[in-house]
Amino acid sequence: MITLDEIKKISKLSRIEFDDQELKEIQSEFRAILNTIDRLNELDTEGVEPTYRPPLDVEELREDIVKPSLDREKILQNAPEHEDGAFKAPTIVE
Amino acid sequence: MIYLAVIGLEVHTELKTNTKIFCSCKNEFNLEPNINCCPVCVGMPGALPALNKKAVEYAIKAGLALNCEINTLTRWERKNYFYPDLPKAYQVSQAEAPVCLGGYMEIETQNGPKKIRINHIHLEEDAGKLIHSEYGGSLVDYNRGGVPLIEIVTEPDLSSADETLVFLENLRALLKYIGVSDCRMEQGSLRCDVNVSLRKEGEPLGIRTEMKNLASFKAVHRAITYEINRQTEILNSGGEIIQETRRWDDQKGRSYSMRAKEDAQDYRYFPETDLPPVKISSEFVRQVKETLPLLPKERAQKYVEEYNLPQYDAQILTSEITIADFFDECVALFDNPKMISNWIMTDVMRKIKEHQTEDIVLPINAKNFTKMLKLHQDNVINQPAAKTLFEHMWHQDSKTDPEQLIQKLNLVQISDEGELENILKEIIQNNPAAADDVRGGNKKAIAFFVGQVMKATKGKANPKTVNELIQKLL
Amino acid sequence: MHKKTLKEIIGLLEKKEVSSEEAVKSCLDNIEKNKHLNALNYVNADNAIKQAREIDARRARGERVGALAGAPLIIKDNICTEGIPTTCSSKMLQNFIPVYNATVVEKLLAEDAIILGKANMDEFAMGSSNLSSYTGPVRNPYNNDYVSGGSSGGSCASVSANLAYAALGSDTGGSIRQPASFCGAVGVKPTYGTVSRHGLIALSSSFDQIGPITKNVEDAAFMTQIISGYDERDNISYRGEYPSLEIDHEFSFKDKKIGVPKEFLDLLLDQDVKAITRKQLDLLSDEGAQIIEMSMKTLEYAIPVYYVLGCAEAASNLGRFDGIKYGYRSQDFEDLIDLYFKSRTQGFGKDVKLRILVGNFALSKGNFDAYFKKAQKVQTLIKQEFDQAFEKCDLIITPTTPTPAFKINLDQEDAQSRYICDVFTAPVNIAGNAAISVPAGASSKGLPIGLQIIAPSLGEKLMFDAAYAFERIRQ
Ligand SMILES: [Mg+2]
Ligand SMILES: [Zn+2]
Repeated sequence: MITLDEIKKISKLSRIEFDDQELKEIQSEFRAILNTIDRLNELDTEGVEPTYRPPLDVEELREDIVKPSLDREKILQNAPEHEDGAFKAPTIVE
Repeated sequence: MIYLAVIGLEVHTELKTNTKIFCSCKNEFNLEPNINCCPVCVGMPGALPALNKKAVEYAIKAGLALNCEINTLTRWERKNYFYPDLPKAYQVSQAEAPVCLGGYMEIETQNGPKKIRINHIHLEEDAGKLIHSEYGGSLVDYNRGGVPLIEIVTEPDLSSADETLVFLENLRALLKYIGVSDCRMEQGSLRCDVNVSLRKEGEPLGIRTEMKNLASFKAVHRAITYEINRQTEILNSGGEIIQETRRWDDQKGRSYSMRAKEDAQDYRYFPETDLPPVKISSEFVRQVKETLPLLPKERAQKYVEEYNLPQYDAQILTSEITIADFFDECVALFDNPKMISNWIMTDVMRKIKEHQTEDIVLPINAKNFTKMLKLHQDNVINQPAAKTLFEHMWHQDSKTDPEQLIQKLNLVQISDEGELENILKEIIQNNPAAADDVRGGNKKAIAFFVGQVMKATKGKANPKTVNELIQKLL
Repeated sequence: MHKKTLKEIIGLLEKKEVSSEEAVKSCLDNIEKNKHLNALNYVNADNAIKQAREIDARRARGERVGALAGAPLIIKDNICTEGIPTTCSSKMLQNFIPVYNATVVEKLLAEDAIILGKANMDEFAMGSSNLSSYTGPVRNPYNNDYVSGGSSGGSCASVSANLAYAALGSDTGGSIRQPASFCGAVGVKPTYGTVSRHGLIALSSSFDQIGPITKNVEDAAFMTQIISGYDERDNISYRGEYPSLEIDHEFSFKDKKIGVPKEFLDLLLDQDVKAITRKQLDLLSDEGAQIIEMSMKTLEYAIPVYYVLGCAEAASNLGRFDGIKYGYRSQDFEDLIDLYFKSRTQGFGKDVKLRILVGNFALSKGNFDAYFKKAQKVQTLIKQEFDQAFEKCDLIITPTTPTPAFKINLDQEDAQSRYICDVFTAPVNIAGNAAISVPAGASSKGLPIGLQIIAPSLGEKLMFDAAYAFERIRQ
């Protein structure tokens, strides 16, 4: 059973916030989903390998050849705020 | 109470590939923001990574130079966290199956050679850069975003600040040697995080702290010294070390605990399925191995054997690839390895030390440098003139042929007996007492006349000829 | 004219019996008449007409034109179109205009197709109803009180209502096949990796696949052929041969082995779906197909696997929407962290937030092995189950969905009932092979019901031939 505190923790990790009412709704939906996904435990996966993509041979990778970059105008075109050719963000406090 | 310091490093090095790790944008240091950018390296919606073969190759190269085992199958993970310099909110990195495993580098310590073990080397993408805006706020530049990095993670085998410095210097030299990185700390192409813990003799490892923001080797040294003292004081006063990340402030000479963000440590690593695992065949590793240059130790050995240089000299010459390459070039042009070595060991090294920069830049080229040596060897110029010429070539003019330069600077040695005889005669006339001393067998007096001739010729007189003339006239 | 199939209109355009401008205008008129469906987020009217005129002029001059020359198509709003808004039906991307084209868009444009508009969808392709769209639900053309399905609801409704001759959608757990089934269209999920994902705004990278929605099987094969192919910009892209998908009109079901997962038929199905599926299987049997009921026990775990892996990848993929580089930025924030929180909280809809939470839950410290890794292992079991099944049969057939379309105003809409929509389609995404949904009949309320034909990886040729034969037999 997932607690409200756990949900708050994960929402913080996700950079999303909820008010108390929303949190309760989320919790009940979350529980329903957990009921579904917890069913995975019905299967014995002892000795089963996780699925990975079929590998590429290193020789098949991209060659190290420069291609033109995109115009900076286009790079910044959708930015909510930009200044001097750079994206603008609020001051970062470390 | 005496504690032993236990130090481990995570060294991030930008690779000198032409393009970024996941896109074909140019990998270059550029002050104009967001010039080398495309949808991939700005993390635009829908953009996908296409892995650079050269980046993998360079990681393997570094691994081979550091005696690592190369993984036959390497995989990619995402490291998730929010920060404006990380456009996708995840860094593509490696955790479970990095390119290189194990390995070591041997360094010289007071107690003899010591093997510092490498835990692994993995590939990852660099983040962008944040600049302070003069109008407030931060500006984000993704030119550096997506530049390939290798992260070299050592075992905690280092035991002092000095030792760490030696290791880092050796590592930097090696990485430059094999040509995978410029290792320019001031441009951020070499960065290093340090883990420090203390323990008592015979006891298990203590709690470690991690230090970030170390912008120079000097800072690394100071930060380690500071941290060892800080931890010692805490332990001596009965306190406990907290596992934390600390930020080094080089100006204030101290470190600060970075505000612990609750979720900062939960990076939620998971497989990056946009990239398939990569198979590295032993044949490919063999090909990469062939591109490795002779490493410093082997090269020094070669110098000792082929050129008969002293072990010490060979070691100095091979410590930096720029110098070793210069030496090789010179030897190819002028068959006097001993003379070349002597000049490099003294004059060239002195100049390099005077202008200490991270990158060794030689303003002189091998062609003109060896020409100068040859002029000296052939007695066209004497020792003082050669030094003057060298200074001139280093600081002012490295392009003009030394033969022209010695004319221009009027450095040609005067070996003409008639001319020197006239000068000497005049000196003898003005110094009859000293002349008598010479005739009486006073050796010191000979040196006086040599000195006077040199003074009169501004050092250009051929000392051998002057000596012969003194014998003849007195 | 807008009722023609893609191949039909191309034939008319080639013969110059119809101009592209006429074809485009006819579709535009029909779009206007069907506004109530809410199928499109953006209509590219002016550009489409301009482009149509250019193509008509080129054709008039006798210049070479592409295979889709002059045919107006609809693109799902999560596929990047340069200069044309691409919103993922999210407030987060309301003003987003891509600066590059997705590979599939490049391929369509290279064949001189005309992009007529961008299709409504579930927000960020999360959903099976199109109810989560920021721009409102898409209505089912067969009955406007019903959903179109999702997430490619707008694409499927567009094709079904003849707003264009074909559309592109994306299928992560059934997002093409399920709405195609609800709207009575043909929908294809090609083999994973055969259609470049470059330019598809990612939901779940492991499962996302672009595919066509068309009016019949032949068009579907034709479109699949055009958008498939190796793409160096997508490292997952399939590097082998891409066989011709030209339909074999002589294909016969005789001696073909058709697998039917027993567990699916046993699942509580809608009576209409059950009856139609039975009827169509009998029809195939009459045609000489050998129907093999087989047990595929792991398939029912596809939904939980899809939930864990899909949400985890989505949570990570949607991290980039942070209000810095593009997309919605909240206007009232105190500092950077606050900007992140407010922009994401205000920019994403409820379903998106829930999935991000589920994803980060499965990835967070202490849960990774129990959820993520476990799901990856079950994924392996599901793949193995398909591999073994295809040793015994040529194709697998299931209903596409357990029920026909449901009402837009569901009285009580619990999470569970919406998630079950994908129960027959998601296993295919988990395994990575190909599948197609073909109209198979109608429910007692007159709502379309689809049949899903699943092929092995890279088995598109056989899949299209069989689907075509089935389509013909039904008529
Ligand atoms: Mg790292
Ligand atoms: Zn780029």
